[in-house]
Amino acid sequence: MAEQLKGDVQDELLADDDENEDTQANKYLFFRIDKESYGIGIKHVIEIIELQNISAVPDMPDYVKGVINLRGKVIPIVDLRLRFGMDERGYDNRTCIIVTEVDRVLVGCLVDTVEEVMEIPEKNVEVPPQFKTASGRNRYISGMGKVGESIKILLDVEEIVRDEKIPDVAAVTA
Amino acid sequence: MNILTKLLISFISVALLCAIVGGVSLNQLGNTERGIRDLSDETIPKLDCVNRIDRSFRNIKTATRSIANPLSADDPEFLKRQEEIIKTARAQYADARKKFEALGMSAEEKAKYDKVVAQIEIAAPYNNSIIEAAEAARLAPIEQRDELYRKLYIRVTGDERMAMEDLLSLFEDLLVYDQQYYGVEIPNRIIAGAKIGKIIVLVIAIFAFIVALIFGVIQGRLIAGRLTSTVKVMNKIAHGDLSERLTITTKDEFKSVAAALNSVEDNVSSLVTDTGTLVDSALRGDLAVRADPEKHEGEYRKVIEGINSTLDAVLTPLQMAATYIDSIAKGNLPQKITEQYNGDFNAIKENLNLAIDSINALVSDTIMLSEAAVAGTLQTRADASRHQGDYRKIVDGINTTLDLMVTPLNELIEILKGMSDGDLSIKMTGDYRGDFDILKTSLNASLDSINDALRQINTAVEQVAEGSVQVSQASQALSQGATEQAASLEEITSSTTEISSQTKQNTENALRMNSLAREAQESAEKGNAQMKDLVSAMSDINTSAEEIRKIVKTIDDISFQINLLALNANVEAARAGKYGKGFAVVAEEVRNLAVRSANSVKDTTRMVDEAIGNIQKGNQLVEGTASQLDEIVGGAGQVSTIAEEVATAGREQTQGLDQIALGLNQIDQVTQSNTASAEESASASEELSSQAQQVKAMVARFKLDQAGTSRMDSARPEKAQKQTPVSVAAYHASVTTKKKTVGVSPAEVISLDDSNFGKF
Repeated sequence: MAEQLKGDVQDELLADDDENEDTQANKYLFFRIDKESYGIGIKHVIEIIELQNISAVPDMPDYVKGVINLRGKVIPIVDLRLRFGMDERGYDNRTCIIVTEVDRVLVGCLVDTVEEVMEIPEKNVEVPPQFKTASGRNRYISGMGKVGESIKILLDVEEIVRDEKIPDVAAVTA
Repeated sequence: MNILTKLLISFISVALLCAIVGGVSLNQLGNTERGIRDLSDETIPKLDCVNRIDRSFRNIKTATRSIANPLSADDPEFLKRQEEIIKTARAQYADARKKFEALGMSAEEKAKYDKVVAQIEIAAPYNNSIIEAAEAARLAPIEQRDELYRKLYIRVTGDERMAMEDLLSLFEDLLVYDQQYYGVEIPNRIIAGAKIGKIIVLVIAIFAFIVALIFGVIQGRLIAGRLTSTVKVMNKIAHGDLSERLTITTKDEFKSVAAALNSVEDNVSSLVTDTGTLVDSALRGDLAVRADPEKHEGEYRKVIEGINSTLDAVLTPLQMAATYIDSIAKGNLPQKITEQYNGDFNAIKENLNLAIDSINALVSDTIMLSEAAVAGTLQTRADASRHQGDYRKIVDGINTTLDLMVTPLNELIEILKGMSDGDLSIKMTGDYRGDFDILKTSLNASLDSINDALRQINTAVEQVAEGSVQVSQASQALSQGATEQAASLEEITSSTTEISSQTKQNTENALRMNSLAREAQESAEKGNAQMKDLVSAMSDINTSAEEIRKIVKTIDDISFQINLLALNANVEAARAGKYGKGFAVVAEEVRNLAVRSANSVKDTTRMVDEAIGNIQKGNQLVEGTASQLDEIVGGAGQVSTIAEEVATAGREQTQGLDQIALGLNQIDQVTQSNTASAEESASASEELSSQAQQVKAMVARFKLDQAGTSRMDSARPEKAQKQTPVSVAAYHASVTTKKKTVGVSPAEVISLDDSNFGKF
């Protein structure tokens, strides 16, 4: 009888796992920087908020714009334009902050605007082309999603945020 | 009760039920643990003791019987071993009994045990005595030994044996009871207790599961239902339908959500109403209407204040421009505008200044020309290069008109001056059109006629001078010439009258032209006033379009925020697993609506921008038309002035023609006197000579043209050829020739005289 119970519990746990896979896997939140559309996995997204007052923090890399207070939580803000080595652009009323969670750490990403949540099946995702860049910047790209005739760049949030968490290491390697 | 309280109550209830399940489970597990401890501490040792006592009883019994056996007497080893067994068994028995009594007993067990103890008291002495007897028998002399062993055997198989058997059976009774009680009943009781505990825990757990499920479903349905109605109202707001109100009567957070949403609807509705009022007023042309910004808050107040200040900024320069255009249209040219304006208003200001300059220059030149014309100095001209465009055309037209009128007048003056000096050889040679051409033709014809007449007079006088004999004939010829001269004079007079009447008609036409020009000026002024209305109406449309663009911008922001909410809802729905799938579809639909409204906003913005561009183009066209109308007004005024001048000139011309008629009348009188003189010379030849001399002297004053001579010669070749021989023949020869001539010629002459005589 005890073994029977144990088996049932295992089945339930497996079923729960399947359900989570169904709703969060392969779903991406797409946002816009410049004229290009980028996607990040929805499981890393906590919420999307409008631009808030950012308190600057001294002695940080230029792409770390500072911190915000989101309902009592202090969250660092990374400007993805600067993170990707693009020119800085003034903020407008379409500028958004995507609050992401990686390894239980919340990080806000500043983007030009958000577009939509879309599901891209795994068979439509291809590995990114291996461009030889001096800084190895394409390590942020986790894949290329095919949607109809167009290509959407899928980003690896963990890579983007990991460097931000340990700026000293980034400075040494750079 | 708000949602937080409800959720807290639900979760606390479920948690309490879980705690009850845990408590009952703990209690049951404790009961089971106690039972198992009893089993290990009491039951098993008791059963062990009972078994050990039983085994020691049986060992003692067997060993005793072995000792009592005579066959064993010879085997001291065996006996010694049996004694060892008995000793060990007794030690075991004592130990086991002590432990057994220490463990405690139930009442029934105690009774059985007491019986066993009582039987032990009986059996133990018997046993001891048998052992002693066996030893005694073994140690006894051989002859007594058989007897002793026989007695011993009887004892062993007799009462002593029965006492031992009873003890064993009594103990068997206790053993069976203990095995039944401790080995079966107590374990069964523990198992039964554990089973009941399991059922209780199962029942409470099922109850807790059902309660949690009911709370979850009720709260979930409650929240989902209110979210659906909220989303419905928000959709309507996104589509611009502000009529729907969110009515939630419960006193939870949704009531504040409904109040906030209704407040948003009130604010937007109030803003739309005020903007509509302003737009309607602007479209009606009433730019003085303002909305009250105190009725709105925050950004809405900024929108209304922006509309008010835009209306203020448009109204002031428009009123200024209207005042200036009004005074220009009324002919009251104002001073230049010196105030500073910005952008298009400055362009309006500069255009108005330019118009004032141009009209001022035109007016001053026109006044100069008209004053010169009034003074009679028709050579005066305005400098056309000072003006531009149609203004230059007007000044050029006046100059050309003056040129056209002055040239024939000058030539006419020259000819009349020559005539007054007696020079009749000059003709009008200029190339003129219309009435001036008629004037030229008539004047030339008059001169020709005068030349003809004078030439005839000359011929006649010459004839008189050559032969006074032929005086009567010559006088007749003279009379005939004078008659023809009178007829020619008649023609001249009628031509002059015709010229006079045409000149009058000219004057009348000029006056009609004047009135037509005034009508054109009035029409152009009306058109100008309508253009002003059109300009202000288009400016209002422009203002309204700007307001629409601002509102559209606000709607665009709202649709973006709804999009953001929908994306967040989508993220949350994905996190909620399969229970969030339905909500994810709703969130996606909300997002699609937000995207659609954003697209509509983009189309609207593009259309409003196109409308503003068209309005600006229209404004430029209207401003161009207004300035053209101003030019037409000025031009029509100039045409009117010029027409009046033409009329004045026509009247002066009529006076000149009257003078010509007067001169012709005098010539007629001279001709009459000539005729009379010819009559007199016919009757009195003496006087004829002197009269002929006088006439010759008179005629000699006139210088005649040669062309007229040749023309006259070709016109009357027969007469000239006939007259010459007649006069020569009459002068030199006899009366016969004269009579012949008189018989033919005078018939024509007299017939002419008869027909024309009455006119003299």
